[in-house]
Amino acid sequence: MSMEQQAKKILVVDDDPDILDALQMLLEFAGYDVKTTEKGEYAENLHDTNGGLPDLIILDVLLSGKDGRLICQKLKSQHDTKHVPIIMISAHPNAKRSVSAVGADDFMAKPFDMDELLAMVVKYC
Amino acid sequence: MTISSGKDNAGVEYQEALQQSEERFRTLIQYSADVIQLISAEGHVLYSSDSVKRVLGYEPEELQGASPNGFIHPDDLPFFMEKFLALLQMPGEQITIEYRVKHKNGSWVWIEATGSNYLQDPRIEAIVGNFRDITERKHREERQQLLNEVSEKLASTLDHELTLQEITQVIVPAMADYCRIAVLDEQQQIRDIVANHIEPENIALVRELYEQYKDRVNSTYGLQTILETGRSELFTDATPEAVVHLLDENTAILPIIQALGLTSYMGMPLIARDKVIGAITFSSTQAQRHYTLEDVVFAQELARRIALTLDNARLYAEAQRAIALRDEFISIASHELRTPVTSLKLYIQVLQKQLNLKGEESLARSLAKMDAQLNKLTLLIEDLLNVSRIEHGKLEFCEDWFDLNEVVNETVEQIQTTTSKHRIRVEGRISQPVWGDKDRIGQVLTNLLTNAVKFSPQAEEIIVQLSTISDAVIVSVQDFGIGIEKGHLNHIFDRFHRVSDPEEKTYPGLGIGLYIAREIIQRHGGMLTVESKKGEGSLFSFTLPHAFETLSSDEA
Repeated sequence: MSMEQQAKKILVVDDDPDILDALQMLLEFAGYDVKTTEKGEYAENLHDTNGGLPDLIILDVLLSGKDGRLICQKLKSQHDTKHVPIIMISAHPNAKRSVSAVGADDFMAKPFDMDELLAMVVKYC
Repeated sequence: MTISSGKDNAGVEYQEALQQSEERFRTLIQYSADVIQLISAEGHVLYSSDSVKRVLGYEPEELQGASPNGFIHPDDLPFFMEKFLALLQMPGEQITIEYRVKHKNGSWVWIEATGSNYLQDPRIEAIVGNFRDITERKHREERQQLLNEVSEKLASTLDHELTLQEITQVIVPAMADYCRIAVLDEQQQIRDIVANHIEPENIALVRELYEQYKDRVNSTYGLQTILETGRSELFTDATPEAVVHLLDENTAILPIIQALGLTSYMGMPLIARDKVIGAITFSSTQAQRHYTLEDVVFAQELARRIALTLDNARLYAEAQRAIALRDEFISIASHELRTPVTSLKLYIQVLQKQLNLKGEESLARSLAKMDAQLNKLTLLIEDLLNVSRIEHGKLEFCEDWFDLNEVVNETVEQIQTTTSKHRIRVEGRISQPVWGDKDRIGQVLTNLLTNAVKFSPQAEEIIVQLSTISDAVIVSVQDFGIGIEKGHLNHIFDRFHRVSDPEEKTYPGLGIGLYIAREIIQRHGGMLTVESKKGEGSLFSFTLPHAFETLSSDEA
């Protein structure tokens, strides 16, 4: 099976550039097509038309200047984006409850082991 | 002659003796501190001893034929009449009662009266009344009661604004017709001022009075002066003119003082730990109420108690603020600490992958050790946050039915990776689901197993036992390590308690793990206990209620 054709697309949104950098390497290493952004706006304005949707979004809860949960809520309420699985991550371990309230598919508390995150990613795409 | 004269002599002597005796008794009555009265069955005064002048200000003749109605306090009159009528029905008996009588000068005098019914006695044919002035005693009793009431109010709350208002409501009318309490802030500025007046519509007027002279730093009397000098003030006869004179002839306040009808005034500072933290003033508008030095001494005691409470309230508020600040700090710090740990862990994993690809296995193992240390760091951060949450009852639980066996196996597996020396063995199984927060129970197990590993450096085995009793499951963790001395057993669940062993070594840690573990188990309705013997090992057990029946009835 050829990776170039089958690679799943993952969008990672986090305001910490180092976390984005390391996650990108590890996810690419695991064979995913990874796009990262520090800007919540990019994720917020995702639509089926602008270059295709990712197969999974990993979304931080507290982005600088933006609440990741509002982005999640918006994407989950739009017809063309609501099927995209969203894993929310946060350094606030008790954010777990609030993310399920906005429709997130899963939650991972920071810091986490990459194996745990990969196991979760495999579940959704 | 001798005989007759002797007889006459005897008569004269008898008469003289009688006269002397009468004289003696009259004098006795006259000089008696108590007032003696003879009262008719209708209640009219037939006779008063001279001492009535001293007690009530009247000449005995002025009271001749007087009836009680005009003298007795209206509130006490019904009680007096009831007792008087009762006494009329009891010849030869006595009744003692207390009531207020009007002095000639208009003030009220507390009297203890003993009435004896001698209406049937032909020699007297009257009620004999013995009256004693007990105003002083009553006054002291009232003061004590006031002090008790104020102390009670002071003790009831730490919210000082509420308390101060309540205190002015006790002081008015008991000790003043209007009253003010001012409290200073850290910058020695008046932070707030509460006022009360016997007529609520005049409270605004009392405040206005304050507004008028609050900036007059040169005045020699008043709230502002007390706050500045820390000295008590007494102004026994406060005519409006005299007050204005003392206030630097600021005639603007004259109409206000006249409207309030001030007659007497006293004020004292509220002092806590040698610092003036406020002031309290008492004002009278009654012609009869003039404050004395004795009143000042009493009011100073009152002020001392108020100041003490205000100071306590301030300390309490400061402590609360410090705790809130600390919690906020811990919450922010733990979030800020987790973020770099997250990228650190991820980079370690990036390096591990690359080293493994290159076949650098020993370097990869070093990285694995770094990663394990980061996991410990993460747990410590989590524990710090948990302590702060527990203290505020904010530890959140996400409860559901879960399989305890699964949690035990996962935790054991994870802790097994941290030790190559020990083998952790699980005995038994729980056959029913357990209700609780799976992650928190996992946290407790992690703590107990980590301790078991840490405190049994020479042992090779740790046993986790699962069992079920009638209404609970029991999870126990047994180690064969250094054990805990008897004297320490009671303290190991205390916050920040750490084991330090003089013979061996000090074991590292924050000393909060077991404290958190016990809190979590107790919040689940279970118990965490310990049995231990020095040198033989420790057995930690916790119970969790397994609402098995609830589950089956839900399913039914």
